[in-house]
Amino acid sequence: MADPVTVATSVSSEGWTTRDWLYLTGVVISFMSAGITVFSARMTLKRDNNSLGDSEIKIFEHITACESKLVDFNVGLKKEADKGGEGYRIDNADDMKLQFLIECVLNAYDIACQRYIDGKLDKQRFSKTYSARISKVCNSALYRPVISTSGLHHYSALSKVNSELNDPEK
Amino acid sequence: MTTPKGSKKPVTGNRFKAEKAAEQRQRQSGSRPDGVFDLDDDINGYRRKRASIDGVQKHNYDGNISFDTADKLGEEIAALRTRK
Repeated sequence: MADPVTVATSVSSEGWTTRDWLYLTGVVISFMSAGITVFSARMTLKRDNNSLGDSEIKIFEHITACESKLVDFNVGLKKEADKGGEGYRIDNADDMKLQFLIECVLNAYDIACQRYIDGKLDKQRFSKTYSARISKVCNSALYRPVISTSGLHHYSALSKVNSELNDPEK
Repeated sequence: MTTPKGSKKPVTGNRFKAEKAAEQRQRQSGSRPDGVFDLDDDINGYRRKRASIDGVQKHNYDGNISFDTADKLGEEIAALRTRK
């Protein structure tokens, strides 16, 4: 009785057919496309991280710009107060401008918090960078009256994130 | 077995263990030869310092931003605002 013909013996005896070469080509192409997919996924992830970083830098720049404008104005007020002594009072126009600048700062933090809530930022990084600052802003003698006297839903993202990041009971 | 002149002796199992043990002792003692910088050791030391006594890592606020001067000025202006 003749030996059964196995794949190995048929390949070794007859050599590779066109179909075998096509199979091999298909396998090689599959591996190559898998490699390209992994590579492009890595690059996309990297690009996403970079754009997240850019977004975080923009938020920081916005906050810093608002804080700087407020500090500039406050320095002017402080100089006047030092000249005026005990009898100095902030006049109405200056008070309105101060109110506006405080609102700008709070808006900047609120926008950042909205992005945090929407998951458009690296949450862990945001929490590390801004948790203490947000707590300070929400408890500051300058900002707190504005937060509490503004409308019901004003700065709600700021308040919510402050509660999320800084409330020890959460 | 002979070794060529000037070359290091082959490291046997016992000698390797002894060297590792000496390295470990040196690391634990905290002393380090001049100019030797062990990044892993420094990072672990930093982590140990950051950790609380019970070994549980507390909140790490190193990355936080601050505007302390602006806050101080803000407190003064807030006091001015409340003056009537």
